Amino acid sequence: MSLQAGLEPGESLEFEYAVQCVAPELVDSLEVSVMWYTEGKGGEDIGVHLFQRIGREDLTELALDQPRRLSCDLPASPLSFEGRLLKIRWCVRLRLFLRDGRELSADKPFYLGHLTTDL
Amino acid sequence: MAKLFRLFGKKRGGRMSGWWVVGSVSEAVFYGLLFLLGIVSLTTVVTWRVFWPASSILEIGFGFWLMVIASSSFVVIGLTAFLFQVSHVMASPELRSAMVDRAKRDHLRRSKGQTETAGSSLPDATILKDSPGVRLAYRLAPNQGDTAKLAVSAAFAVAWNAMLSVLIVICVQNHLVGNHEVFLTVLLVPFAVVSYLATRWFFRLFRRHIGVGPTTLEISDLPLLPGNQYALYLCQYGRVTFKQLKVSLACYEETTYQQGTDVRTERHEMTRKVVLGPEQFVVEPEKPLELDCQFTLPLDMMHSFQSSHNAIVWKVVVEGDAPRWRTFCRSFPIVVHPRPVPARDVANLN
Amino acid sequence: MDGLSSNPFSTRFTAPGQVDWIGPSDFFDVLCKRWQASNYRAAILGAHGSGKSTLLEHFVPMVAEVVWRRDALGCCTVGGDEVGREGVGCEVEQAIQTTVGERQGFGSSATQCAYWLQLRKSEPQSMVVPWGKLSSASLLVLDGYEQLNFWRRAIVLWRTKKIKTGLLVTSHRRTRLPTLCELSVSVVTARAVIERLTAKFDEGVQIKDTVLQQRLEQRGGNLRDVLMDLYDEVEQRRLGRKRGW
Repeated sequence: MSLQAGLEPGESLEFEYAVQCVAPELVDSLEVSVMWYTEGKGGEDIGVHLFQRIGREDLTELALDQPRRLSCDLPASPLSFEGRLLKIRWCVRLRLFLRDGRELSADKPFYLGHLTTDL
Repeated sequence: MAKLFRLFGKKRGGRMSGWWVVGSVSEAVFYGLLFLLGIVSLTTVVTWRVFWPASSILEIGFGFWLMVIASSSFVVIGLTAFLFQVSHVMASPELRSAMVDRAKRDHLRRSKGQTETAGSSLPDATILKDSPGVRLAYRLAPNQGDTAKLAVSAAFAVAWNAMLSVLIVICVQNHLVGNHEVFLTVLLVPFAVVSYLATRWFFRLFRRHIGVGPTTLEISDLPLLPGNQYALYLCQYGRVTFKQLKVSLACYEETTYQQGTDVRTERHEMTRKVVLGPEQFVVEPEKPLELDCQFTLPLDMMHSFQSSHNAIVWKVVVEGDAPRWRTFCRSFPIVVHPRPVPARDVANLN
Repeated sequence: MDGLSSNPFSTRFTAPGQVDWIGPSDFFDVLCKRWQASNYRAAILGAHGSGKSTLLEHFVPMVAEVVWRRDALGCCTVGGDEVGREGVGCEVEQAIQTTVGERQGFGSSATQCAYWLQLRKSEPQSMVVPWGKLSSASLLVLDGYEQLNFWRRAIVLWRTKKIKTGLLVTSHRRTRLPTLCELSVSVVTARAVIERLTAKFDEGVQIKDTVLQQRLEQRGGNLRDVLMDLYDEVEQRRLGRKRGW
């Protein structure tokens, strides 16, 4: 995957992805999501901003290793945050569901906003 | 002397005569004793009939039922007035009125099927906006933790003393008829000790609350937005001299661990900025302390956040250091939203 | 991006099921034999933070294909996908047949569906058992069995026996069920867990065995608390680096 690293709320997030080194006949479906998740001392929470699922029928329209482009407008919140107990991180996640039941996933993180730590 | 014993006097205007702490505590003591008197007399009447039905004392008839009704009325009046006195201390009249209005609005909202927005990570500011202020737009509600301790101590003291009264009555009745229950008599000793400690604990908290008095805080707008300026209005009731009083804006990270069979919540203060004080102030019962201040939020700051296990919480914190009443700290949750998306991008989105 | 490296002791990496099970290579074979010998009713014992929930995460999927579970906050998941927060009202949308006998060394009893509850005394909704869902072909998993009072435990034992459903519980104290295993954390295990957590990160944690032993003793053998302490140390170290200490 390739996309811009630092983004502002309201900006358009454009990215493209391609699947390589996986035989197309092994892939059952594919999910792409733009999401945030929390990380830290507490339980993990997630929120999905954009979700797209491509089933087996739609996968044949374009070869897996050919780049597919997506874009979305980023929301105003939650902003990326690096605290002590809690971190809020954004990423684009690609999840492959294989026919033998296995799952492969890859994340590409990005930073939303540009917070300082001082009030 | 004159403060305690003013039998004859004329109150002029809105001034209060006498030391209001003594008045409030005395009122609570009076109604508490009335409640206990009702418990003792009701228990005596009922148990005498149950355990000694052949006795000619307190035979069932007009006198018996009159005693039951009178005792029950003492219980109801004493308990109600006692709880009213305690709640009176925990909230100012305006806040109580606002809470009643808010309860009515919540009920109306639920009956119409309106629910909070689901799936958003921003806390809902609607609840905070339910309470209009007198001088500024909104009145902030204090964190429940400040008054919860007083409510718990009151409930425990009332319940324990009621139970002890019943046991004492039964024990005395047994001794009077020659049935000397040593075990019950001995058991009363530790129970009485707990009763004394619970009552003392309650009155200490009660005295501290009424000494310092309720704090009301109003704000000019909600939710807050980075880069904007806001006004705060603080009104502190009571009768106390603060060595220092300050108002701060504080931000906390809160996380909940859900691991194994334990659930714990941890909080860490991320940042704090003083918006008023610290300064020395004097609060009088007839002249509550009123303060105004303004503050500006920086452009780059983290907004409020709420999810299942994690939260970023903003609060206005009022802290005071009074020699007689020790330090007190009251916090008022607020909501900070992120900066809105610029108009140019909104047009593009459409 | 600077400053976005993860803390290896975040809950994301230390939650039950995220860490590989550390034990002898034949541990699960022995466990499954004991499970069958106990007639599918047993308890996993251990103190706080000794790995009971982690063991459940590894063991239950071995004996049940479809898992319906509800955590203490009421979140329901079916097969790992969140289906809602309805508590007892959460329905299993599909049951996938499985033949446990096909799995290595697990015997021939087929369990279709495990109902897995995380019990919390502070969350009354979490203590409600979905009795209507259970049958002789299901398994009831109760994480936090000691949270139930005497009467509720007696009811669970009686009803599961009557329905002939499997019962697997975790508890801090002995129960009336046969003990499947009793867990405790040694320094060797703690060291292995820490090494596995920090293996994927540049940031290592240097801690001597004697210090680790002391920490385990201070925390009453609770590895989870030791990992939480290490989380704080890593964050403190990062803060110091950021401020140039």
